Amino acid sequence: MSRTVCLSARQIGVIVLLYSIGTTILIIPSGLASDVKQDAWLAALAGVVLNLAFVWYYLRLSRRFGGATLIGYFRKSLGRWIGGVFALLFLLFSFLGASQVIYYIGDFSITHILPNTPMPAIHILFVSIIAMGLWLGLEPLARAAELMFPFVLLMLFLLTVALLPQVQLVNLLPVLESPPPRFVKASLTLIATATLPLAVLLMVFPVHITGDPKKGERMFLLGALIGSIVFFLISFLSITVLGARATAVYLYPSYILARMINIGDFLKRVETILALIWYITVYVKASFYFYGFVAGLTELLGLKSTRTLILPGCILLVLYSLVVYPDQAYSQLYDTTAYVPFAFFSAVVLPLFAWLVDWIREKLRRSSPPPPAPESARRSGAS
Amino acid sequence: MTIRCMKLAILLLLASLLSGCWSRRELNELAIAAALGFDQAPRGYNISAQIVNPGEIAKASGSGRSPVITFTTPGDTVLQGLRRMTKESPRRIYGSHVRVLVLGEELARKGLGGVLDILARDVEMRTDFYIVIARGGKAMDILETFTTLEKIPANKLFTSLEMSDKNWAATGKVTLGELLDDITSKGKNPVLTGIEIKGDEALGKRKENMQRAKIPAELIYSDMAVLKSDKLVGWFNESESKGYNYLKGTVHSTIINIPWPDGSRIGVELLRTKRKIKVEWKDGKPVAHVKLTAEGEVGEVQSTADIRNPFVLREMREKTEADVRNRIRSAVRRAQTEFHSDVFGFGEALHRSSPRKWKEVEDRWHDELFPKLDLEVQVEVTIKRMGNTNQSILRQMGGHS
Amino acid sequence: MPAQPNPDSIHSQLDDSLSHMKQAFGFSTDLICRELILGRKPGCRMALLYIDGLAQVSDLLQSLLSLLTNTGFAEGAAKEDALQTVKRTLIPEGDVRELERYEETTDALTNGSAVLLLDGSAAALSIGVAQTEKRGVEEPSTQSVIRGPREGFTETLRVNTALVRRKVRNSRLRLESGRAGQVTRTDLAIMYIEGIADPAVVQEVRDRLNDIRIDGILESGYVEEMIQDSTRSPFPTVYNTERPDSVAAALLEGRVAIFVDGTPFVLLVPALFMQFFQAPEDYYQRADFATLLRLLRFLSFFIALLAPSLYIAVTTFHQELIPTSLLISLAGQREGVPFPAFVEALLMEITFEILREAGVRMPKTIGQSVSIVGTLVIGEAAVNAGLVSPAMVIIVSITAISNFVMPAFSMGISIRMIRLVMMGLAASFGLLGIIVGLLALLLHLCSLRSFGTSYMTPFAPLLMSNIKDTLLRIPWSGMLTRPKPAAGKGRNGGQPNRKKGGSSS
Repeated sequence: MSRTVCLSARQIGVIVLLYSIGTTILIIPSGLASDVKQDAWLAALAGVVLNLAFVWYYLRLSRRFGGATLIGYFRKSLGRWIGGVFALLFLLFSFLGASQVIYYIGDFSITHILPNTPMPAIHILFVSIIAMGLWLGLEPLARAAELMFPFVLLMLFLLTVALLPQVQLVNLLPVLESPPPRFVKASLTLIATATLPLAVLLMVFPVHITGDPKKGERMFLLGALIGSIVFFLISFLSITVLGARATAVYLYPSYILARMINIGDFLKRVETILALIWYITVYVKASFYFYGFVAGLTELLGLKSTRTLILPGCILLVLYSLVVYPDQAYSQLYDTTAYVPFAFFSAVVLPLFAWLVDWIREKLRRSSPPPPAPESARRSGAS
Repeated sequence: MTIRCMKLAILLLLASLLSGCWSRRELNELAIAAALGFDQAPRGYNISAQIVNPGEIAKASGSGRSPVITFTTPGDTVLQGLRRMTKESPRRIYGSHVRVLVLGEELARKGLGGVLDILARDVEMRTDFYIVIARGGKAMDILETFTTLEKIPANKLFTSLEMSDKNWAATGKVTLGELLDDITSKGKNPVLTGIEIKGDEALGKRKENMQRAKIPAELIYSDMAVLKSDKLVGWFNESESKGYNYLKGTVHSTIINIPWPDGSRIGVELLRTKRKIKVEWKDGKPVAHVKLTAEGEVGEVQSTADIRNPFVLREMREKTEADVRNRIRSAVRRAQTEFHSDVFGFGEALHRSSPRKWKEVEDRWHDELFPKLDLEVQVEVTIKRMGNTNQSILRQMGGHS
Repeated sequence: MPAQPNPDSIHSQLDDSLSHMKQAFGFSTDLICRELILGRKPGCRMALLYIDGLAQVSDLLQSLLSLLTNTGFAEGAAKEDALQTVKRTLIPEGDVRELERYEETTDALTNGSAVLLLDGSAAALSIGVAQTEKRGVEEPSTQSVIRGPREGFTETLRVNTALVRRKVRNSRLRLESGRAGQVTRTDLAIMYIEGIADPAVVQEVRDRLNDIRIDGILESGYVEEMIQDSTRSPFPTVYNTERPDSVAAALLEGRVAIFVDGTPFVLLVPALFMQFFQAPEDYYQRADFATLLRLLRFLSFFIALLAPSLYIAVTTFHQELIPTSLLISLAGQREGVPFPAFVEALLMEITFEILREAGVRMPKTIGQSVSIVGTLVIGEAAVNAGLVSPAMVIIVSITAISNFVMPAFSMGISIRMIRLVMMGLAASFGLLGIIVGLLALLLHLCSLRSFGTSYMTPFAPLLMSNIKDTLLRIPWSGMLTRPKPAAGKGRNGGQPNRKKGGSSS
């Protein structure tokens, strides 16, 4: 890359926040409510803790990178070929993730905003601004996220305040009715949707951050914390306002939630305005998911600029996002079953393995300083 | 970089122009439905829609055409009926602005489940309209009746339900969201308000109905329909309807007439009621503890009672409490004995207090256990104010009694 | 002295040099050559050249003629020293320079100086006697204020720089002059305050001005277009103003002003997005009121940008958003309107733009009749004929009026262009189109830079210390620090993303 891209600590915090809200608030309340009914908010609360745990794991992991991205780290620790395979698997994860996010925004748009519009049109439209963002580069993207952030907060605040009169705490009772295994399942699904995609941000995180790394980590953590609180809030509101049964039945309960706003028979019918939250957050999520893919592939192939891959990548993205889920029923099933282990494998196990190997090597090197492993000579060319 | 941006923008613009307008619909291509009505038909349903004629309503001086048009078409499913309506209506029926859904009584007795799905599923429909049952009649007749004051009958239905809900406790505004929630709940059954036409039905369907001071045919809300699951099983009378609303906790304001020993009546206005329901399992049957607190005001005194006397006030208060208690009891008793339908949500209360027990009994709740439920009602009324005057006119006229 | 014969050096023979000069100007009739003889006996021939109308020579001639007869001078002076003597003793003007080359001489003449050639001397004297047709300092017509100074720049560069210097009486105020335009040779000047302006930005301005390759510069708009960071952005990245107080305020914030001779519009760089929302009056009025005005401007910005597209989106795609009674009223108005809302809006917008353009170009005396026709055609007749709905007229009017709330006209132009794009997007994708359009706009704005500074500073990247004069205008008591130069070199941003010309700094 021609010049080093640098994001500020605050920017990465904002990105993490918007990114983790992303599709999560759109789809997950429904999944949680169908798993643990009125205890969905508790599962979300557990999600806050788990979320922080995993973010902490990512931050610790990122300290080992030493100026490399996650892809670079794979190759550094596992060698050119095995590392490359790992990197490819990880790229698959981010590409699939990006397609899923695009699918969801398309599906959401057609369901609620623009019925009768063909899905490809919406996907092309949406992907084209993602392409524009990536083309302009990370910095404008981060700055745009920074600018959008107050609006998202404002909208979320309005949503919450406007719904407060309709909160019925009775809907939360009885507490802890669902059996523990369901809780575990709900929390895992939540983590897989909300937190694990943050691994893709490791393509940006330690490398492209300027200033004190500690501050960057703090903002990363803060962003994830606020993100999970927002998510908890939305689950809580869904359950208390809509009720557990309705939350579980609707495809996009948080949109229905926004529909419930009615203040003095005057401020109502504002859901499409509030949909701005979903579009902005999903945009950020899709952009960085896809950035992970494009930048990772660029690094893997040793290309000079990420721009080369943007156009072909975007065409691929549009096409794949149209077929990633054949129908809504499939998407719901997939998200709560196959996706969870897949996400854990790609975003937790792969990096953990690389870390372990790296750690063992370091131990070996320390115990026997003289022999420089032959791999270590080769891997210097990776990054 | 910017060249690319511009190219992209131009491409986007071209694409959007090419796209035409998939989901575009101009305002004057819409038939805005203000009310929908579903009736049982020999085969499937009769779907009625009250369509607003915007040109007639918007302009200050209408050209004398009717402000609304009601179409009715049969359909095996609701959606089929609605779509078939375009054979009759030149414009597509647009459902986002439906204010009221009227269900024919016959249909309600057969079950609502079939017609409700489309309302929840169709993305065009919102969940904030009210649902009422045409008592003893057909929904289409209700929709075809013209009203005064409000040019759009559906608006009149909507606002008068809101008003009576605020000031009179014997009707209930039930939105689709609540209805669906109640129908799907195992521990609670729904109720719906009834509506009927009072007066000359045939005359009510003519436009002249709007032009007289004394209206020949009027739409008025009557009492509440009790549903068991999704089927109508009977009607509460006015007193029971009130009792139901007390239990539901939705009474904002109502009038209670208490008979006074001297044969006259005193009206107490109840404001701000609060209720707590707790259901527990005791000796093999459910026991419900209901505690209702309300704030009252002396509304009207027809008697010569000395309302400045604290003892008189206390008596007034006790009589008010008794009145409320009796209405609650009678409503619950009727539901237990006649309808076997827990419309009060005692089942859900049990679910909340003892989830395990509930798991065991949930399937036999309405028919077996609810009728056995013991009801303990505790009503506390405080009467704090008496309006402008602190003594009745009658008493001031007649000296002291 | 003439070691090597330079073809451009002035001949020492007066006849040669005179004919050279005349030829250089192609015997233009406004080049006046007045030959004089200094002293009596042999006399020293000399010639005074000037361009009629540009130079004010009567005073000079008078003093020359009164001194020519000074006998003590003529005999004693050697020919070689004649020039120096003339320079020292004869000329009453202050600005006198010695010239050695013809190019300089022609320059001096076109500048309005008079040139004195002496026989036997291979040099010439230029005497600054330029006179210009000066317009008085008047109230600026584009950026008027209710409270604040009434003076505006004129077409004369020197007057303009003096106007600013009068406001900033500090020796650290630097003025550098130069020329641009191969044919017009227009005077340019840059002004900044040493110690406040970022030296890198100043250097960048110098470099970009030096890079200008163009035949003529007739207005600062030429310069603006030549030096802006990105020519293909609809947004202005150079600010222009007619007000000396605005320039002084900008200099104090560390900006660089570029004066161009012949226009009252002075350029200011770097120009940030926020700057186009700031009116000079904000600082002369109460801070709280100014803050409200700022918010009002932002509101107007969004109305001007989005009102028609939101109307299109909501009425053709998202009718569920409109309250029922309003929907019925709007639908009633649209009964019988033959066009889709998009076409309706487009028609109205175009009609309005035509009227506005006509209003600007029209002789002032018939302006009134145009506005009458405009109101009648757009307002009454179109609605009565059922071509457009009254609601659309309201929307287009509020849009048009909001557009004029922008204190900077150049931002208003950008809004007008983008509005049309937004309308197209709204007509095909409804609110989704608008959201996507806004996202793209935001990305574009975030990618812009003006002389190395991010366009959206201080919002993104967020500079907390600079926020105090953006959406808000906090009281002076709170403005304790100067605005930080955004995106300093330590970070990403030192590099201006300019494409053409040698990148520098």
